[in-house]
Amino acid sequence: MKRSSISSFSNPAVIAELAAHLHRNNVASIHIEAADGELKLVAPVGASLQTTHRATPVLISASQPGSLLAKAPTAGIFAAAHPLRPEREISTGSAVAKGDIVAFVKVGPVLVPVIAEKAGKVVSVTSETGTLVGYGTSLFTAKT
Amino acid sequence: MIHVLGCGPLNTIQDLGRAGYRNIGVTATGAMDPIALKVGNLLVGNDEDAAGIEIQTFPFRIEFEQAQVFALTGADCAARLDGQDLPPWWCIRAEPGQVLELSTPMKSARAYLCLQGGIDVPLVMGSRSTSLRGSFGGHEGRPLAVGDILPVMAGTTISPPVNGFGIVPPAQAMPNLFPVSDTGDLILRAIPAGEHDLFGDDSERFWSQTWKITSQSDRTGYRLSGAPLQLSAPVELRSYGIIPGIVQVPPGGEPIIQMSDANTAGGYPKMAGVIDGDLWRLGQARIGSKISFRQSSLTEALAVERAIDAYIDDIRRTLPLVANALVAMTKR
Repeated sequence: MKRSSISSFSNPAVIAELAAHLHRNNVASIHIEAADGELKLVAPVGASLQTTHRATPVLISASQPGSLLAKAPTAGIFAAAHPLRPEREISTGSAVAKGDIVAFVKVGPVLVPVIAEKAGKVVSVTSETGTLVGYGTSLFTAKT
Repeated sequence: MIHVLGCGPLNTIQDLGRAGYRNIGVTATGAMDPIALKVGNLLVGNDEDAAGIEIQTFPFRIEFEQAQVFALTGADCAARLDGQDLPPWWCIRAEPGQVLELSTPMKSARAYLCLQGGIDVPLVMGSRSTSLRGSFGGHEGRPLAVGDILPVMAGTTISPPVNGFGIVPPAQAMPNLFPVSDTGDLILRAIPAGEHDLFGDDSERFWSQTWKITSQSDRTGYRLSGAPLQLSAPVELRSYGIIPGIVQVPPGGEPIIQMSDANTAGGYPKMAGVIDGDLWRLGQARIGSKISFRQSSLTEALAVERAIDAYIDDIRRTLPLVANALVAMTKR
């Protein structure tokens, strides 16, 4: 999807069209990111996908200063450290540089790196090793 | 093409070995840790038996003459690509002129460098492995040396993400499959061999005592040290065919385990045979480390092999799916 402004998705007609599209394809949620904000459409919990066209639009405000450091590059199992380097775990207080590998997401036997999007000092690690994370989930926050 | 800038002795080009010629005295050779070589090849999109570099002396340094997807598996050598730290068991793309540097590992003995397309050296009797004993195969039939330039065949399909991706190593992926002692010593599963019972009570000690891997150990075989084992009565043996994993007891009484470059025939009494599924662990065992043997069975040996095959199959299936998904997501 083109990385345009999130405002191009703020029209209710566009949101309704997207929701209908998700419904037709039996998709429960979609998360759209743009430089200035994000849009998340989620089918109501427990709602039958056959009977509802309703979705709950959530507009998430643009970049909170000094917050997101790294997010999940794919859905999978979070691993805070490489299995051969358990001593190298990044935790609260660790200083990281932009582009550093700060953790991994495991998809079966494959390890996908979680990359620091900026330099900073880690304030929180939001997942524990072994837990399932979704694509784009915020995994680390930091102070710059 | 890659250019060898720094290299210790006895680093060689290896694939999965030259099977089928023992009858004419040709050593099988091949990677000491075949799982690491297979996974490295799968990471870069090669067939699992493509030729890579087995690195057992460090530091090792190469320069990439062109853009090249490569993978490093086996021992964690704190690899750096132009100074950038790479995780172990990792695949990434190098740009022309970048330098890859490996340091002496803290654990394990051998690292494997696989290049997308595979190293382009001639096939000799079906294999690209270096036969040090025969001085053929690999790169000019010899270990690599500073200044060597190695051609690489045209690559295939897998493109790793910018920061690369990796594979969970076998011992961590299957922690219950590979036994270690309470003190971390390697426990090797083995099946009693032809002359086992001729050692009488000493055969019990073979299984119960801890053995140390001596410095007289290399790709041909590992010589162990410990309280010597003696036959109950002297025997005359005819020479017999040897394969990697056979544990022999020479007259001195300290066992030898035959490895990838094993002779094709020998005459010392055979105590046991290490199961194939544990040989890669021995290939990664360091000189000075301790091992012990545990009596195994054909059933257990086959179960271990099946588990390893399933691990490799899982990688072969999952890796292209993840690679494609990551490409699709970065294109959004």
